[in-house]
Amino acid sequence: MEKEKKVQAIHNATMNVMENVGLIVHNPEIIELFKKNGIKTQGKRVFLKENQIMEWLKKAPTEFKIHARNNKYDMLVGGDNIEFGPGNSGTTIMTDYDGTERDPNYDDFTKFLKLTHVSEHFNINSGNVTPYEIKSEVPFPHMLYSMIDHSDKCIFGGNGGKVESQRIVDMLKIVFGEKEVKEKAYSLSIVSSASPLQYDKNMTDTLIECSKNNQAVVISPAVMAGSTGPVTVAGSIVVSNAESILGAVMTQMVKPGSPVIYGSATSSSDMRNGSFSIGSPESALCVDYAAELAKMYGLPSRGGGTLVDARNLSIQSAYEAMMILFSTVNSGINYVLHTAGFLGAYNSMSLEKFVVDMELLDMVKKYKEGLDVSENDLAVDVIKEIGPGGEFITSMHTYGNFKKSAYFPDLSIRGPVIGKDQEKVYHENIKKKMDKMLNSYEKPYFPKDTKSQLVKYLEEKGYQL
Amino acid sequence: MSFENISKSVIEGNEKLVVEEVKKMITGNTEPLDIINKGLMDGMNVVGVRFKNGDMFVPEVLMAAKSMKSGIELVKPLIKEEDIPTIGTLVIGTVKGDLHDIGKNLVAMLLESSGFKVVNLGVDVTPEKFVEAVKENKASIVAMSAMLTTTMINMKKVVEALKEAGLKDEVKIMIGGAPVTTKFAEEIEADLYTVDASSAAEEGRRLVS
Repeated sequence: MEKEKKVQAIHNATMNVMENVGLIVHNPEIIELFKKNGIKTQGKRVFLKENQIMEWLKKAPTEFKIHARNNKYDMLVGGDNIEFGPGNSGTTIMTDYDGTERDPNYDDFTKFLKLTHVSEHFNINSGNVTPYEIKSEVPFPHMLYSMIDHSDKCIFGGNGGKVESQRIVDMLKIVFGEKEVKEKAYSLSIVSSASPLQYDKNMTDTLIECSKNNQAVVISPAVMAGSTGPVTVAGSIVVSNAESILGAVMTQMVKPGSPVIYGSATSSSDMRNGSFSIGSPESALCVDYAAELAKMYGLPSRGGGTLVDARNLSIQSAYEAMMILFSTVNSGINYVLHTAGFLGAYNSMSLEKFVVDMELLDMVKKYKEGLDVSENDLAVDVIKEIGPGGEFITSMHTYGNFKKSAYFPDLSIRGPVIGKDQEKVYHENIKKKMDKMLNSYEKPYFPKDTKSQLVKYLEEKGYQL
Repeated sequence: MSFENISKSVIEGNEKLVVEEVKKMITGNTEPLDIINKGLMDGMNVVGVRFKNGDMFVPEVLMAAKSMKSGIELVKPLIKEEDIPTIGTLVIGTVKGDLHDIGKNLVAMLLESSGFKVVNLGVDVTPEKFVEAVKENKASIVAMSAMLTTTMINMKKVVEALKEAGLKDEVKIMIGGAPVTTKFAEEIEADLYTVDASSAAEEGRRLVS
């Protein structure tokens, strides 16, 4: 069956599920909205027909901008564009180079912020890890302050919840102005479902706060085929699709036209122990289909990245990350949420993997640039000049073109490695690159009075900056 | 007809055969406790080992547990409540604000199959409910699960509630879930953190032995 027909089959099955099985939403405010808009409800359960779904999805923008403090980092999400984000916010486990897992600290946190800020791959910064030093039930606003202080790139939101989301919006208003925040999106927050076919209060409160304040939301089910969805991958994509669609519909009901990304973190689970397997062929397939389905619905999509199941930087993490990243950039996905540093099926972050992932991204982007078939590159004159049996290494054409013709890795070792421990050399290369990036970091300008307003706001809320 | 046959049928997850064979043994006046220990539990122990070694898959383990449970249900009425072999009572639940339960249910099933009496409180469980269940059931272990960094903090609240109720010293506390770590377990004064269902079953048993 051609892909188009498969996508249609998934869509049809999803419509069947949404109309006849329904989804549960643990949020009375959302249930009221559904009722008000003529959607069939039975207690917390909602049932949507295809025409209703399409009508609501049409209201969502096909593409939208997320604005940054420095507008050279404004991100266009949608269309044929692909944007990369390092990760989400608030992972509570750090993995060191040797595989030791520990609590993330403030130093790790700021290193990630700086690396993200320096890297040309990212127009957005995120929390990545929650430093253990922040003792709060709602730590993200404190992290957001540091994020804004260290970087003028776009902002990725926190772990969710009404209180956190309200504080994020308040802080955005302080930094960008109340009027501006009403008109533009200055942040992107994640809204996850509780598969199968469910949304909890926390995540829907986040959705409401973000959407009503015009801030972008990425709907991200993570159905685990075999556990929270059918073990047959297509079935889990159906469940995931239903959840993504409902998430998008909810944003439009809260505020028609509010920016939303159709996302998916869906993949298979390993039936040997039930664990999520995101560095798998199924994961790549799910990314593929998420991109196709989102396009069909006229929404920007999110998925993929350097996703791995390996719990340390290793042979396994390398091939898993490359497989998923390569399929991601070929799939048509618009926003890649986990591009750098993640290990252990979204469980932990690694600084070294972050640096290695940059190299993967460099390689893949170079591949995607494609081929230049200009006269200069076809080089027929040069071939004529040098002729059969000749050599090109001393030619002026080589001298003049070598720098942009091939990719020069920062980390990969090429050529003979006599008398050296290859692994040690590679590790040294990672350290060198990380140091280079960190040393080149320059803190962007941040107006003093805005900074002190933020500090005042956070201290009033009980944060100890 | 033998204990071995029952054991084999449990391992193969053949519920129909297990029920048939247990019924035969009951009719044949076999000692009920032997049916459980030498037939049903024996089979489940093999399953546990094979699962740990990666030789059996989760769906196969669940089928085995299901067939064992059906067998036990037939034998239970023949044994006095106090004679039913159990290594302890375990109260298990997913903490307040969290709806994730698959891992927790897998742990519950494996612990039940390994001899615990399990009281499964479900999801979104308040500290008060945990405490009440521990009291009511005279639990030897309370097991908590959380999938989110935003809800794992409620595990601490349960520990505090147990302290307040004067129960902390009488019950062992075990925790698990994706964002949970050994360090976190130490911080909140839990007795045990396990990474997956298999080790939860194995190490949970050691907690009460």
